[in-house]
Amino acid sequence: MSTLRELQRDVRDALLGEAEATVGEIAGDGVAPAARLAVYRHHVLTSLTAALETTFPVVVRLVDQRFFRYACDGYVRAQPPAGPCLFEYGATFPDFLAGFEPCRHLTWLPDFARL
Amino acid sequence: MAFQSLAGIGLRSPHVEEMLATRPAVGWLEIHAENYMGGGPTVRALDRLRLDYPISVHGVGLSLGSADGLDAGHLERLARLVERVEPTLVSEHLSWSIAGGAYLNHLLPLPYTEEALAIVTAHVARVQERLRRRILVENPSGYLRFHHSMLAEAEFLAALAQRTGCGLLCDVNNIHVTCANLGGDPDAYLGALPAEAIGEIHLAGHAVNDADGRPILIDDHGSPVAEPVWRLYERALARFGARPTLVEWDTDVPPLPTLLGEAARAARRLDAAARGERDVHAA
Repeated sequence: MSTLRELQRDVRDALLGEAEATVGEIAGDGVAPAARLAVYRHHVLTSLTAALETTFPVVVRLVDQRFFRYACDGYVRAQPPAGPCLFEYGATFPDFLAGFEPCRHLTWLPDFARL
Repeated sequence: MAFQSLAGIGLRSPHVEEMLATRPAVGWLEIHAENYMGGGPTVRALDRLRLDYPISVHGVGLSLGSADGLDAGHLERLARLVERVEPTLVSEHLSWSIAGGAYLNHLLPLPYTEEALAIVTAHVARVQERLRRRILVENPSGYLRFHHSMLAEAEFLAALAQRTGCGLLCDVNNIHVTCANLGGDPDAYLGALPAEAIGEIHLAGHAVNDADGRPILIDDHGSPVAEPVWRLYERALARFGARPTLVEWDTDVPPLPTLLGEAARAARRLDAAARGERDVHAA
């Protein structure tokens, strides 16, 4: 049995990982453990995407909504917030967009994100 | 009227202007602590509202269950907010949100083990020492449980209250949601909570989604309080007595009068519970 610290690292990695990722200590009780964890993952990704939408309204206006959410999904998984005050989250989002392959051709986008 | 039998609402940004302009009759307001840590107009609005309404400061980011330890900087920010707002109540959650430096913005579940109880106990004690007051700890909504949990959630909360002297925030909707999702009995849950420790009650709406072909209740705070939750609330009041009760609404936030109407429904039940207690005293 893992310690609580190990369990929390495993859950963190699974939440920021792929849709089928799970953790061995989760009981299924008639529902696949991965499906139970997916309920939490959905909230993590959508709520942090909503926080980035609030902080980067110019980017939201400039790109397709589905693309914005796709970029946020990648950003949240790669660089989740360090603390609970979400108005401080996203300082590195412009740099992330500059290196994000699907929008490489939008060379002006990171500058608008920095506005 | 005694604070114990007042109904309040969660203060949400779309309602702040109308609250300031109309000052509707509602018992108290609860704020999410983290939304007020950046200063600016939101905090100035709160400075005005708190002259007319008792305030409850409800933290969502302290991560009391993190094995990595408490974020000392965040605790300081909470302490400064509490000093400024002088709230009637301060509360947080039985959950964790931070692991390995990542804040996951969710109230994640703990295994209910002795190890977790020792960690949460130490963190609650440290928060109460820093804030120099008792806090309330809320039961989370649950979508999974861990194989190695040894205690029921209500037993874990009762032990936490006993060890730290903290109070409990009983979220009745969360009990309904958790018991539906994990196969528990809501009345047994209520029965295992220490009545004297209950310092506040939460009510909210929930959604029904699908997980792996089975219905799963989601605590989305996006609709009116469900009828089974009102009935469970009545049984909670019968067991605990009147307790300050909050209606929360966070998704698809309705017009302010709708939310005030939900608080009024809670207030009627609180009045009845308070009358019942007086009758018992008089008899």
